[in-house]
Amino acid sequence: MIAVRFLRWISGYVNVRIGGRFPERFLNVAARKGINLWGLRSSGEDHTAFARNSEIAMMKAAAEKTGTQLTVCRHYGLPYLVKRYRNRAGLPAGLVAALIFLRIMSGYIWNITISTPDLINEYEIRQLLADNGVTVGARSDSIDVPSVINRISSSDRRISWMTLNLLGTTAEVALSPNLAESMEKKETHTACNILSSADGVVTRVQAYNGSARVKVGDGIHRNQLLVSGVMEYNNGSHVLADSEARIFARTARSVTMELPVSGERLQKTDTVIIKRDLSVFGLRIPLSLNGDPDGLFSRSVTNRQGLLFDSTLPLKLQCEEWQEYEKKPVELTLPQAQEYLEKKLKVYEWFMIASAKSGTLLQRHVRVTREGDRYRLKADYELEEDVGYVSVIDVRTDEADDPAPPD
Amino acid sequence: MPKPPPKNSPLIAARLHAIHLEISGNREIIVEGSRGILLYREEAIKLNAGNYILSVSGRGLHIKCMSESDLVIQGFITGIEYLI
Repeated sequence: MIAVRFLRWISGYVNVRIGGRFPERFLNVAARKGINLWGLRSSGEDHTAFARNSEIAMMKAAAEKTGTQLTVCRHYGLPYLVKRYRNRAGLPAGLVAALIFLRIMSGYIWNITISTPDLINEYEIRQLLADNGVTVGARSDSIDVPSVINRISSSDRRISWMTLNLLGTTAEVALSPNLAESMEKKETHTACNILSSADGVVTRVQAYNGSARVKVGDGIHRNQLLVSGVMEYNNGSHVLADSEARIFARTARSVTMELPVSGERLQKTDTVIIKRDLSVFGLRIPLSLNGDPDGLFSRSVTNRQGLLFDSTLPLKLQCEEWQEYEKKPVELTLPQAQEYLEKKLKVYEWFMIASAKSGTLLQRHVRVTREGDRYRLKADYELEEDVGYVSVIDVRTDEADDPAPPD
Repeated sequence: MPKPPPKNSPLIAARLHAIHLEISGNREIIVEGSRGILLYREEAIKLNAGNYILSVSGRGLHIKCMSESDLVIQGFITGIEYLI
């Protein structure tokens, strides 16, 4: 029914009043002539009905033949709408301009959505896409999707597979990480030993291949043989093995940090400069007259993407906040120095535990003291970590040195 | 003129050259095979059915749409009468 109504609206239709002594006669003649009437209403002597625009002439002829009076009351549909606004040139011109604008703009990419796992940074992917021509404002037909996928997948070994779908003005990118690549690769050797990387006391021995030379409770020192790659048998023979083991030991580490009592520190001032930019179809329009300030400033950026019914629009408001800092001479108190050094220590600990193989922090002892014009922090740690590292056994079979057999 | 229905049609209406009515409650009647409208008022519509006249009475009656032989009558129908 909606389709019928739409077609009637497109072709145009009229509301007519049928008056006279025998309107029924007109209805019969009109029906016989194939005139399609609908919505007939009777109000006393007069009848109203709807008919197609193209059938007015036939209806007039039928009305003349039957002696009825036919009056067109109202026009409906697109032809009359066009006729009504015919003299307003701006409207059709605006409509045409809007259609052209839509047609042109729909050929560009205005939004890039990336679904990436934590292993791969979204910013890196955006950079890779930009290097391959997939940016906001790029023409959709200029993007060779298979070649972009191949180039990006082959350039970054962390990516297992990647899809790039161009849906209208949106480029959807989905990535999957290469788990095999991200996992620690075990190097293969023909023969190797496992040696200790630190002093300590063995707490656990997990020897998968090779001959273990230490047991739980043994004290070990740096570079001590933990697992031997030379496996001896009772009959006196031996084979070389690619040792594989995890030897956990309780180890100790210490670190010292210093901070001068008096010095310069950066402190926030009241000056905050805010810069706003509006990005429309990839074109950045500055909304403030402020430029990039010189001096000691920190910059934080917030982006607000335009949305319409959960669809991303090519509109983005970027707000940059520049906070000014100044250097001020300060004399630190012990609690202030302690707070500052503890922050530095936290960073150190994070890297220390991250760098230790399967490291677990068992104990931590930190003390801050003032020694002359400096504050000194000394931290002692007790860790349980995998202390083993691989040392390849250099087995050479130099055939050139073998003496030639006598003739 | 409408095409005469075949003589071996399974419908009795077609065999008798009579009109075919389809009534939906008291709100709508679809009439097939009518030969013309004799009276069209809000309270009564009379149709030429060949050998007799079909009279539909009611309130707010109107013809939703019509062609040469078929029409759809809508409204609050109170009676259908055959005038021979």
